[in-house]
Amino acid sequence: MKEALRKQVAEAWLFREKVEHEAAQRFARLSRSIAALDPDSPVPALMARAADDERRHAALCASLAASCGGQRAPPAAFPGIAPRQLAPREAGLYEVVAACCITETESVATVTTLLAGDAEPDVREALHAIARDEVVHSRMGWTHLAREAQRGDVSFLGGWLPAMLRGTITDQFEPPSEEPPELLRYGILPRAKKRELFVGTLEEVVFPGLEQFGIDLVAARAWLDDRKATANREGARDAKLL
Amino acid sequence: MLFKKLFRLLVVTGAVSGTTVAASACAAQAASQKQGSADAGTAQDGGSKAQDQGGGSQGW
Repeated sequence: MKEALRKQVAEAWLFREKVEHEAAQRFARLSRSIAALDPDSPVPALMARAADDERRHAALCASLAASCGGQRAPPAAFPGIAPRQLAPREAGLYEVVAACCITETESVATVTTLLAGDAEPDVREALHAIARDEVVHSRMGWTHLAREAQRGDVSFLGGWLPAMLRGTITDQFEPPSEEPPELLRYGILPRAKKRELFVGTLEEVVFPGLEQFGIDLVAARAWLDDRKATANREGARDAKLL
Repeated sequence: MLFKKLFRLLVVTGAVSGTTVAASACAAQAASQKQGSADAGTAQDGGSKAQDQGGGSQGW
């Protein structure tokens, strides 16, 4: 493997290791807070298991990064992401929707797409192990949202969706960089494909899902349209410069 | 096609599981005439350290 490719692959898997650690901490914390707020819910037990899953995923990601020379940093402590002004119940729901209904749903789409490609055997093995768990992690978000919607009004989430989405994206809307075609074999999507998948998953899975629960999507759609328009303008400008 | 499958696999299955369990829990609760305690509101860490504007969760 060429040095530049090795570095890109190592960085990508180290980043994934970091987000898996973050998810592990989040699910462990949410498992406790949801158990206090909704004692009959199956979600806290699922979240406790999900925290273990995420720690296992982090180890898989670290191992793939190490095989390319990636040096892992010790896991940091990640704070909650819900706005401070929300009451505990709303804050818990905010975080579950951001982490499960949006991020884990996006992750399932990404891992499924990667598995459809021609990945290296060790990458494929890791992706398979992760894919099974991510399905459960996404579902537990929709389960919690359904329970909360049955209990009361969850429409307050509509206004917060742009903040959740802003915090979710990484490089999806940045102009394409130099990307060797071999990246896909090492479990990394080209940026254009990553964006297409992110947008498609939002528009056809996440948004219709949220809409079912009476959550207004005007702000979320406006945010997404703005990001797409900006990315298209920047893409056209870069094409002219070449 | 992928998205339609994902919608059914994740959103529909997850939501149905939530409403089914919630409905059975309500029925069990009514039958035993127990007082509900679902509004405990005692969680201390559901985002208390977050910024005022809220954030998101990065993934793959």
